[in-house]
Amino acid sequence: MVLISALFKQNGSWIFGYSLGTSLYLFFLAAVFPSIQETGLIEGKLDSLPPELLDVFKIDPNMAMDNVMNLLAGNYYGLIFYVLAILFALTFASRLMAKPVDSGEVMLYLAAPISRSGYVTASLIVLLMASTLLVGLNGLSLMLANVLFDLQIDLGLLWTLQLNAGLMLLVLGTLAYVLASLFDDSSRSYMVTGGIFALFLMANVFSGFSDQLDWLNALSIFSLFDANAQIQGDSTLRSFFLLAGILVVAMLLSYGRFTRKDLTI
Amino acid sequence: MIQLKGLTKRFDSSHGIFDVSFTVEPGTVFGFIGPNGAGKSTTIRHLMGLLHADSGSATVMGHDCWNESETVKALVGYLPGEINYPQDMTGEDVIRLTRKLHATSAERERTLRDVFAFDTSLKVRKMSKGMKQKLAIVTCFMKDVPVYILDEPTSGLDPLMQERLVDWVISEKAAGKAVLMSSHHFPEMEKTCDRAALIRDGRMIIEAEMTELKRHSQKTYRIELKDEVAAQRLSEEIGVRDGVVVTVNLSTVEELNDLIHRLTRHEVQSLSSGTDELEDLFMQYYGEAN
Repeated sequence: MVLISALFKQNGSWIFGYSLGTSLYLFFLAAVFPSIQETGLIEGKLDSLPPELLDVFKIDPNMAMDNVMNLLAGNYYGLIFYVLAILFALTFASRLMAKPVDSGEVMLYLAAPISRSGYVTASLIVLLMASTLLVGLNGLSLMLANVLFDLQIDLGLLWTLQLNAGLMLLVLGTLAYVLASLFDDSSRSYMVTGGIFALFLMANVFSGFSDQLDWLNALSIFSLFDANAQIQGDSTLRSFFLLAGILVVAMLLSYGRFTRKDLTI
Repeated sequence: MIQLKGLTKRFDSSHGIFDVSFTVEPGTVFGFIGPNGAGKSTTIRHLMGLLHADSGSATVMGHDCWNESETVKALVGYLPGEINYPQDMTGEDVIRLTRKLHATSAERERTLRDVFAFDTSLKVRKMSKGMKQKLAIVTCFMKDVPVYILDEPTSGLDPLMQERLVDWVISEKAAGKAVLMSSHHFPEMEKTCDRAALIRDGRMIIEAEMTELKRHSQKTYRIELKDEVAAQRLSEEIGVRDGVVVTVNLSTVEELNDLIHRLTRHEVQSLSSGTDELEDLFMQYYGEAN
């Protein structure tokens, strides 16, 4: 418990930064939605954009912009969220594994009667807290906007999206944590992890360029969070189970790797 | 208390530690000496459960340092060679966290804060090397444990603080604690250690009681005489002359008594001993390494 609170306190600034920043963005986007809807500006803008670009940003041109969730599917829960999730995961792995091990700061904790698996558990609990805080505040900010501006948000859909987003943050964070534990050099681990995540992102983006490249989507972990499909009522169970499976494997790898790793600190 | 038996860790064919063995008994200080990259820190990392040995064993009070590292760390106060606390924490934050993570003694903390006083409100990033070292000393000895592992403990400390640390280590020894200390600072080793070992290229070269090591070390004396004629006369009997100064190297007490006897026949202006005895001995081994 002491370790978890110490690690959370040490990392509080970036966790609150991501959570509050994204929540404010969502709140203001939701707040301006009624006026955008009145003017019909969005439909006009979407009609003028090439379909490939809309695919890249995961915006369905056939989707009527009659609800704020449809707007957010393209303006937050697509490419923007993917990039944000990558940065979130890299920051987490860098602050709790790569940098502390590289600089020797982790010795503050490992000189205490704390096992390596205890440190991994505490780190993953901090990740769970950070992800919950981010998606929780995001959801609450949209609920507040819903109350203030009468946006008719489907709360069931909203929290299903938040749960999926939270799972995605957990999976990416844990994968980044495993990759960071493979290296002794923090900048190398940052580059490798960033490179792998960038490949996932590119596969997701290029899959939208043509039907022939659709298979690329299956290679990307981001295909497991498709907000448009969820808004259109597609089942999310398959994505949830796959993400949960990847999460369990990544967690087991984290324990396996860090508890056996030689630390030259 | 601390026991290493045939500890071996190969990083590659020439790097690592090979067949390192020694024991540190309760109420003693064991000096671990060696040139940079000799394997001192690698050995200490095994004791702290950071490295897994290829063969051999490292135990503290009978507990295996790799398989039972949690138990071992509860019994050990550790002062690392390089102090790397999180930069945004203040000294007070680090001490408070140490209090929560380890079983510490409030009375020891108060005494340590007085003896190694520094501004604990400063963030680590603003601290000098000496301040960080004092912070590490306070957090290490706040734990009232049977074993202490100190890696270059006086590094960055001023002479007054070095003296205080030596006194502290001697008091821990008197209280029955087992202390393993790696250092390049020979005077503090001479004052505190009961046994010492030299490691070079990952292998133990010598290990012996300090009294034994001192007995075998060569002592250098610098004798200044009244004039060159007197110096010439003495150097014909013993030593090497340089102007009015004669330098004499001695190995035994008998040779020392013989020198004193001879000096009564000369008009000596001053007499001083050269470098530390222990340093002399180890420099011979360092020299061989180079």
